[in-house]
Amino acid sequence: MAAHLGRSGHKKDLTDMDEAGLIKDAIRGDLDAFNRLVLTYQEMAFNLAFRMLNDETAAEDATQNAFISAYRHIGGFRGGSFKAWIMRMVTNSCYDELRRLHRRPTVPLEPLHVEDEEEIESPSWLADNQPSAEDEIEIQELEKAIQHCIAELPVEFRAVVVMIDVQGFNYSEAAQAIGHPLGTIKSRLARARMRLRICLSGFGELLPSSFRLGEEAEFS
Amino acid sequence: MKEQISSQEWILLSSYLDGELNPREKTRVEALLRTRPEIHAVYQSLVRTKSVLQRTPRKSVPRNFTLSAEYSRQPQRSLRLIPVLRLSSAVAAFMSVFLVLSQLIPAFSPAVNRLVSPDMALQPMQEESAVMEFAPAFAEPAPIQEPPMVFWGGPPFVPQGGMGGAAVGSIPGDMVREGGYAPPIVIQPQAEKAIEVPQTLPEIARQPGEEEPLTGSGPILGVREPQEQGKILDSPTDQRMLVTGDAEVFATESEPTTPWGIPIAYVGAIVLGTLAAAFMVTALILKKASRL
Repeated sequence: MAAHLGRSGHKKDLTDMDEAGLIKDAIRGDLDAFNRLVLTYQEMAFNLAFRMLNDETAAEDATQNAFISAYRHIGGFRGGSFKAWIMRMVTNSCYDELRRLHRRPTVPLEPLHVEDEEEIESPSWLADNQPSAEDEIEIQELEKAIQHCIAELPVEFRAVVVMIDVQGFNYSEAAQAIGHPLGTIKSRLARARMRLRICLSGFGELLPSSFRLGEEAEFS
Repeated sequence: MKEQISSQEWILLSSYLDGELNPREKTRVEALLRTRPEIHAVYQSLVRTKSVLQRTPRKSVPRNFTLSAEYSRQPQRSLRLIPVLRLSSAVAAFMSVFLVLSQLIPAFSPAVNRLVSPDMALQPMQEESAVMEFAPAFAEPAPIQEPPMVFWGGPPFVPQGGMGGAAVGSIPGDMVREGGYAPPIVIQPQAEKAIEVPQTLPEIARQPGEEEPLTGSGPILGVREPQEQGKILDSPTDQRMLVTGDAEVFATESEPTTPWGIPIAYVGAIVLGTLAAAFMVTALILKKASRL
């Protein structure tokens, strides 16, 4: 069953024919076939969930719930892009998780400074003792900046910009995954990019020199 | 350099960046980029923003999200119940509304529908209730067997004066006793004398100038025209007027009620309404649970 498929963090490339066959088998109840599809899309799903929720544990829960829901409803898959269909499950699961977090907010486990009670972003007791390379630091800074700016977006903009700019979806796939018309996707993406552009320009020197953004125009 | 750019231009630039414009829009954007430097600058910043986002590091999955065999056994019985519960809810709600309407609107009432067809409905009603009770005034009298009257221990009373003007001698002598045990007195009913009804009433000689007597077929005497006879007239209350040959009677339709006096139809409507709500809530809960 799932055990022999092994652990993989990488997307398993499937040809369209393979994928169609696996989907057909999964609809007939073949769990092994479904798990092969899970292995193909789990990284994409987890990254989407993480960018939307900005929390690794919540993203893990949302991804798992999305795959459970996908297995239960795979009989309702009516063709088209399976990737978009799965990502729709992930998006819905993220919305559910956000609602749940909104109802029951959690307190971070990060320790506080005794004097000013501010959170320590990288507490020493959690720090990785291995020295980081300079480029690794740069990547971390870049990711932090991007994640901060994405988290600042309204939740309905997040899904669009992550799917199209981060995951590389085209507009129609994003429209199918989010369940909104193409015009809405275009509009949301443009607004999200406008906000991200302003937000990222605020990080200035933290971004790699080739990505530093200037301030040229203002949205009306 | 700060310039105002409309939201439409933003959307066009953003879509142009992704190659998602039709040829006409593409030509328009290219013209804007050539003629307006601020638009060109914004476009360049958009290109860089997209490049930054594309450089977003991919996070590796903390674990595999493959499903174990227990999930394969779950394709759930409860999910199959959802459409059944929804349908039951709709049916129960419809029946509940129908019951309420049947009580409120007379047109929905099955009792009225029964009366529409006189062949089907009128006959049993005539036989059962009103006609049997009120019509015998001119029907042939059935022989009635009166039981004998028995007085134990003497007469029920001793007249002590008065007697309402009745002569003492008119009381049977055996009924007047003074104290002591008296054997029972049995009074046999007297056979009724048959009243002879003349077949034709004697004509009364009218004096000249006297008004025409009432014939007995007009509404004043409450006697309906022959074509109206046998019909049931609606009345504002639940009673319905049954027109017979000579009398109008009210046939009361009593509705079945519970021991507490509430009509069963209302109780049924309430029960069905509650069931509809319960089914709907259960279906919603099951659907919500299935999404988790």
